Amino acid sequence: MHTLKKILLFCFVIISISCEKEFNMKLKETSNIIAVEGKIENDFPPYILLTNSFSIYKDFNINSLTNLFIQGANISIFHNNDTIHLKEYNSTNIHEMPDSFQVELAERLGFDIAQFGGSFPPFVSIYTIDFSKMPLFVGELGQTYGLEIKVQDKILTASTSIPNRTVHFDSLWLETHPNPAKFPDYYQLTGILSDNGSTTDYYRYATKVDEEPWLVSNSSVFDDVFFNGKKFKIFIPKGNRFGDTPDPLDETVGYWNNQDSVLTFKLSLIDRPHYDFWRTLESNRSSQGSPFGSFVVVKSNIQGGGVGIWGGYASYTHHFYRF
Amino acid sequence: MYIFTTLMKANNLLFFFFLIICFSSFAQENYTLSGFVKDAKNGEVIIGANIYLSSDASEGTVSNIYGFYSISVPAGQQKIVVSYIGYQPQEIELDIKSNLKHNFDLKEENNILEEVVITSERKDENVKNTKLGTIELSSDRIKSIPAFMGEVDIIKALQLMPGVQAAGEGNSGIYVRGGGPDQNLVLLDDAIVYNPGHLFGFFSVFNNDAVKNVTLVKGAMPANYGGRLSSVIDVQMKEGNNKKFQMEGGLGLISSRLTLQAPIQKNKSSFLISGRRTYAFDIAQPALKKTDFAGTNYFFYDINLKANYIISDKSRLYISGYFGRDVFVYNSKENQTNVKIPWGNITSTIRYNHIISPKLFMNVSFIFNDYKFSFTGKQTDFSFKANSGVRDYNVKIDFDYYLSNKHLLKFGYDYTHHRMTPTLASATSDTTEFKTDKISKKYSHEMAWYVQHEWEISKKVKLDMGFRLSFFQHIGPYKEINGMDTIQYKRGKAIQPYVGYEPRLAMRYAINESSSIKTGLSLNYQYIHLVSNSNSTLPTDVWVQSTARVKPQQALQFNLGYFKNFKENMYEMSVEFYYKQLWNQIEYTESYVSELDVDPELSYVFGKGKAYGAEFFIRKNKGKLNGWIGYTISRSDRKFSNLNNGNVFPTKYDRPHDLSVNLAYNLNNEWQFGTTFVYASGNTMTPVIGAFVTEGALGFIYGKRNSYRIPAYHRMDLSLTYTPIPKRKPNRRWQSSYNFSIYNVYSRKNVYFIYNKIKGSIASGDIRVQPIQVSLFPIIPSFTWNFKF
Repeated sequence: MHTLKKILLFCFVIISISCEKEFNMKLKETSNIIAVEGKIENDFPPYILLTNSFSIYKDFNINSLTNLFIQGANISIFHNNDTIHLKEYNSTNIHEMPDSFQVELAERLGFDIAQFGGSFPPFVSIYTIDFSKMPLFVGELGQTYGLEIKVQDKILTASTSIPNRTVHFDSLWLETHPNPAKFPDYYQLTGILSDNGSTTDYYRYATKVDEEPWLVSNSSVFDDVFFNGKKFKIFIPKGNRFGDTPDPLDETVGYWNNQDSVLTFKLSLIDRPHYDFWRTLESNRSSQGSPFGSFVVVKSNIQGGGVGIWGGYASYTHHFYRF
Repeated sequence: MYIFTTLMKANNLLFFFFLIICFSSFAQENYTLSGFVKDAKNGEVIIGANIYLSSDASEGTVSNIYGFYSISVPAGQQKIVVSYIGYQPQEIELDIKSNLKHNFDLKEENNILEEVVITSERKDENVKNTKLGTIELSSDRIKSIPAFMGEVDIIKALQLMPGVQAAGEGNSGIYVRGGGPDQNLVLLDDAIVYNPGHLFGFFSVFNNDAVKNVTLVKGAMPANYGGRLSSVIDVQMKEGNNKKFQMEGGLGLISSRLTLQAPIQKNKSSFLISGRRTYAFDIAQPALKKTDFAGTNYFFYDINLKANYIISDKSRLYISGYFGRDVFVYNSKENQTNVKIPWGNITSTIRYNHIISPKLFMNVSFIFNDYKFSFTGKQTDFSFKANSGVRDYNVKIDFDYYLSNKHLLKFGYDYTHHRMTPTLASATSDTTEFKTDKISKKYSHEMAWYVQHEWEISKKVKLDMGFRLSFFQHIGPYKEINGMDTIQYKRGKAIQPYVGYEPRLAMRYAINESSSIKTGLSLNYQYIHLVSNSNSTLPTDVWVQSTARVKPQQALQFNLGYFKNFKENMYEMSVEFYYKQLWNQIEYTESYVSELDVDPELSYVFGKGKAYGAEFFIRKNKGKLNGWIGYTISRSDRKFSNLNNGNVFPTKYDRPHDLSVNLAYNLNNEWQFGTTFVYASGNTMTPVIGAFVTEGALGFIYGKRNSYRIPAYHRMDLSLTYTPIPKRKPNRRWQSSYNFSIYNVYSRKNVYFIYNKIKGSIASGDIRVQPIQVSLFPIIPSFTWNFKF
């Protein structure tokens, strides 16, 4: 992909003695849309972030962050005949959450809890299970989960499923960067994956280094139409910090380096609507800077006027210890 | 069975139509004078020359695209006049006692300054014929238009005409009267050119040195053309000088070109070979070595070939071909990476002309054309290949039947076998092989019968009646996948047929000698489509055919025009109105993202549209200062139940105002100045109106489709051509000229596209999204040295 991007960029740069300048785009104010980021994974409690959409051409500052997260929502998850009411956590009651879960959740949300004095940032509101009620409600393989969110006089609903199995790599090893002379400190994490030929599978992956937050790639999902039922070698690119956009010409992007001790890699199976969300979202993001791009409307499984995703994951986490 | 019955009915209809035409003509005791009109200097046939009786200019005809004419002449001594702009009129006296053959060799005008040609048409042809929305340009006139980067381009010349819009800054793609880029039938010697652009459309594939003339039909399309909704761009290649060896070429900043033409057997056969190649990036290689672009290169080239042989007085054979490629390469030993991306067209045409009788001319064409895009990439032990394209085998037979000077009947048959290759990919990783197997090539038959009758009812009224019966059939082999079910169709098995009844009508009413009103109506079917969801037309866009799911596009166009010439045809003026209704228009769904191994037609949505406008045109045809001004006011919109919440939206090429000015000033025989000014409303785009956050990054929320219009586009170009005439030997064969052009003289920063630049991050609480406008070409001077021998 690096090469393709390089060629397209080369073409564009060379043929165009182009110049850029800021453009004043006057648009009408738009109404708020509620964005849902909800995840449920096998053996892990569900959690949901609710945020407001915002006008992008206005400066976004720390005050905006305070208004970003939506508080006071009434959220329920439906599983078989059970209804699970989620509890809202923020900096005032985060201590009611087990410490280990706080750390894990912070890593999954892309930040290091130590940076915020061992707690969550003050502006964050997160909805998850009430840890005082036992047994703890966690995702299970092969199950379907409904979601209902009552907020701001709206009712948003969604449904997702966790596939009935996990997949894991047969083996993992390191290979050198394709240009080892120039990048002797960088490696490719490589593995052998066996795909199930009897089903159409949709994959999402995330990576992690040591005890740092999880990293995601800009192309984090793929399906198996091209390799259905095959056993093959695949490179596992290192992801980026949440919100980071890597330089397409940076040849170290996606490669692990000498300072990474424990390389963690999570491979998840997801359902088709969930896959469609990430696929369209990633294309929506990447189209923003290209004359050859097109506009892609993000395909959401949220009904009732919201955007975002309520997504189930059947995950298996691999660790590769370099030392 | 239904199709068969329908075709039989349609054939009966055609036959009935034919009979009416035959009975409506009336036989006279005249004889027929027929032959060819040619350029005396090089033997090239002249298209559109006027042949008429000196005693009655209304008794005349026009030479066809092979230079053939046929005129009914009363017995006895008759003076016949042949004229064509830029050539000395010729008058001969013939004693007509029987049918007679006579070829005319016309000599070029000597006084260039007084008769500078800017159109290949007869002086008053625009008023007298029934053609609506038809533009003809000679390659010589195109040379005087300021050229972008020194590259003379016929398509960019057409963009300066009303109703024709450039696809973008510096782009040779065109949108005609509110239609999409796939709705233009681009022909090179009868062969369809599926991708007429190099380098994402910045240059057209037509090498002007090899081109004789180009005709654009944007209005009522005659029945001999079909298969597209919006326009025909019919490019004819030169035949090759059959009198003497000729060489011409040019050295430019980004490319060079060379054309050779010569007789194989004098006055009997000749050939032309023309080549062009870019080298700008080859030259830049040393500079790229220490940059991130090391190992990367891009070039394109074209080769045009043509040969013709006059078998006898009655028969002639033409063989012509085009081969062009764009090539991207990236090779890096250090990164163990090799990538090659070639794409381009091949066309080849064999045409056989035969004069069956002095009144009946026949042409048979066998055509092959192929457009292919491929990608091969390899890095360490991973390799990837992908290819797509379209390949046609086409046979056409056309007849021109000169019933009398008042009746010309054209009829014919056209058959094409299409093979559409979707993006088929394969890869290897180590020892494992992968390939797409859920999508497959598609095959089809496309055929048409047509009849066109040009009937001069009176001196005031002329009528063109035409009918085209088109038939399309998706055929096997084909694998249809419906969920878990697969239906396998065998080779040649009929899968989905379509029939199109396409009436064509044009009428002229002459108000007086210098003005006329014309009207026209045409219904067109289009069976193959190019659906793109990107902002630019890309070589990766794949042509697709009609299937059970993808129905043929249709368009009904109504035209009305007023044409007026002034000052003995020195000035011509026209106003044309058009209204076009379109059905079965195709777009991708709003959430479309391409997927390997998924047929893209599953992501199509279908809707209807309309386009309407008025075109104003004034042209000064001769004199030291000549040129034209064209202005178009128009709208183009679409309505899809699955797009934009079912509401009407403007197309991305909806351009309410479009103005073009092109002027040439010939100071003397050595110095010529040219200028072009264009102004157009900005393109539409779908704006981002908001954002939401997921995993710490933004997702973008779009507003109404194409609801934002970028600022207007305008630009001025200048050119200066110096053709030194040696004082000692002014008529020597070796001629040089130097062209200096300036593109975008006042360096207007026209918006090419707008993107959103994201600064900061959500996590840090200081994210800012800034729209950035990208402008492609500032002022660009260029220099080209042209030579001719």
